[in-house]
Amino acid sequence: MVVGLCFVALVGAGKLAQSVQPQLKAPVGLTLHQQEALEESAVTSVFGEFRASLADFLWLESDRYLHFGVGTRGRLESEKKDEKVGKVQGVVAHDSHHDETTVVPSEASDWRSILGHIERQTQPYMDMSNHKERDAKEALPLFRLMTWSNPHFIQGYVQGAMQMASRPNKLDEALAFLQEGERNNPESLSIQTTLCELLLVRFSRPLEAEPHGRKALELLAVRDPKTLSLDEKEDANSAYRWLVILYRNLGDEQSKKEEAEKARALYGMARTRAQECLKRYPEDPTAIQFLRKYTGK
Amino acid sequence: MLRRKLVIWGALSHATVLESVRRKDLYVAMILSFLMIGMAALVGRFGVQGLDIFLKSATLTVINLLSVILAVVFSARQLPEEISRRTIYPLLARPISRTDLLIGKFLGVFCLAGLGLLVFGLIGWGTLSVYGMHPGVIFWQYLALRLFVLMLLCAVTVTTSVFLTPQATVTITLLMAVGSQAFSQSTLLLDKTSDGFGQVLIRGLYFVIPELNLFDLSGKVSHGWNPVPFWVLAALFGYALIHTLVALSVGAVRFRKVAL
Repeated sequence: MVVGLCFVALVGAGKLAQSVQPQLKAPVGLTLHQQEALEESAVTSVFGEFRASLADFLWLESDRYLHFGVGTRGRLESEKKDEKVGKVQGVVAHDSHHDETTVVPSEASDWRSILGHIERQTQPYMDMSNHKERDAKEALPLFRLMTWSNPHFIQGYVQGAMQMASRPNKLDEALAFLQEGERNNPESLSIQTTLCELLLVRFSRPLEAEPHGRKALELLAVRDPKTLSLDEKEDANSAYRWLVILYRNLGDEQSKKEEAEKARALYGMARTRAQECLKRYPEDPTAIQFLRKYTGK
Repeated sequence: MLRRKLVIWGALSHATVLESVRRKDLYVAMILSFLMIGMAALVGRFGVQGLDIFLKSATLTVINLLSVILAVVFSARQLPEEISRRTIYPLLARPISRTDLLIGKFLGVFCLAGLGLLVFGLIGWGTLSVYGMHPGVIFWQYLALRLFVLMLLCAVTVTTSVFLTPQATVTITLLMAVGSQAFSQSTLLLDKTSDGFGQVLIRGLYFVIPELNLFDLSGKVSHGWNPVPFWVLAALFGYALIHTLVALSVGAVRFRKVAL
């Protein structure tokens, strides 16, 4: 009942908050850093559901939903070297796991004998290395609710849109959802990168995708690198990558049309982005591959 | 001998249930049940389409919380009230021992807690069914495991009430029930960062302190997993029974020494 009442009250408050002009841009819920810390910290798994806000609670619920209820936590330093500790690794793109393991230990790393076996039977548990995520059908309303209750919940918009885009007939909804996220969070490079990816890969609209990729890199340029969260660093890397691919594809199209000048200009733009990318991410395979193939470097 | 004991324990537990009914304690359960129904109706008005897992999870959390609170509150005050109202003297003037009284009280509150769980469970199951969500066989396994854990919790609470005031008993046992998962997780994490004597101590504590979160199938029910094998239910019944007997034995030893 308490959960239900809080749920209704917070969703209502979130909707109300959207309709009033903010006098002060106060942080709503957890910051990106805090959300990431929450997801990846081993200690937070101890406190179960005592979370700061409904959006964060729903975020964890959606994560559990996608993993069939299997709880995950960050790996301790001592666990990172231990091969017996089960690793959580998804097979999908946008896999958000960084050094995680299951809350219920794997059989190989469990000292509890029969009690460990029982816990693996009574709690949702499975081998999560190379796992597939569940059909996101039921998680979609959770993403909707979490962004209503906290319109600055960037990961809610990004992951929600990608989950929607993976379902048939939900592409337009995914784009609208992400555009709503862009309106609420114009400074988010993660949303700009995801818009670029969505328009380029799913909609095949490179000309509409390109401004979003550029905007993501503009936002990156004015940010202190130390303040970037892990997800933002990955998204910035993706922005470079999508722009390299986008300019390369446009260049290939112009080559086919025998528009050598235009093609050369586009390859030049791709080369610039690839070189910028390698300065920040020296091992990026897309940038390396492009430069090898198109410039022989 | 055993037959006589069973008759005594049965009579005492029956009296506990009757006393609870006479004092309208069960009204608390009924009010909570009606609140549950009201809440379900409220959620229904907002629409539950696509929120099956969230609704299942919320329903089972409510069942867990209410049944545990009811069991702890009922159990914590049985013996202290008998003592403070001095009704314990006529009881002990009969040919029954203090251990019989403790066991009788435990059985009575366990029956009440079980009844409460059944009511909450049926309301939860009915609510989910109304919304077209059929949790399946695993829901009844979930209820069985909650019943086992209530047995353990009633025993621990009745025993703790022999040592502490009712308020302190409620606080301690509720903390134990609610914090069980946190304790379990802490133990597992601390084990990874300790060695030698510290590690032995942590592992020893893990096996001595009852792990109540092992009895919670709500995650599996919510996410639509298959029923668990029968041996798991049997093993957990054995686990709960051992802890119940240990708790009652400790309580009985202490209760015999309490000056009335």
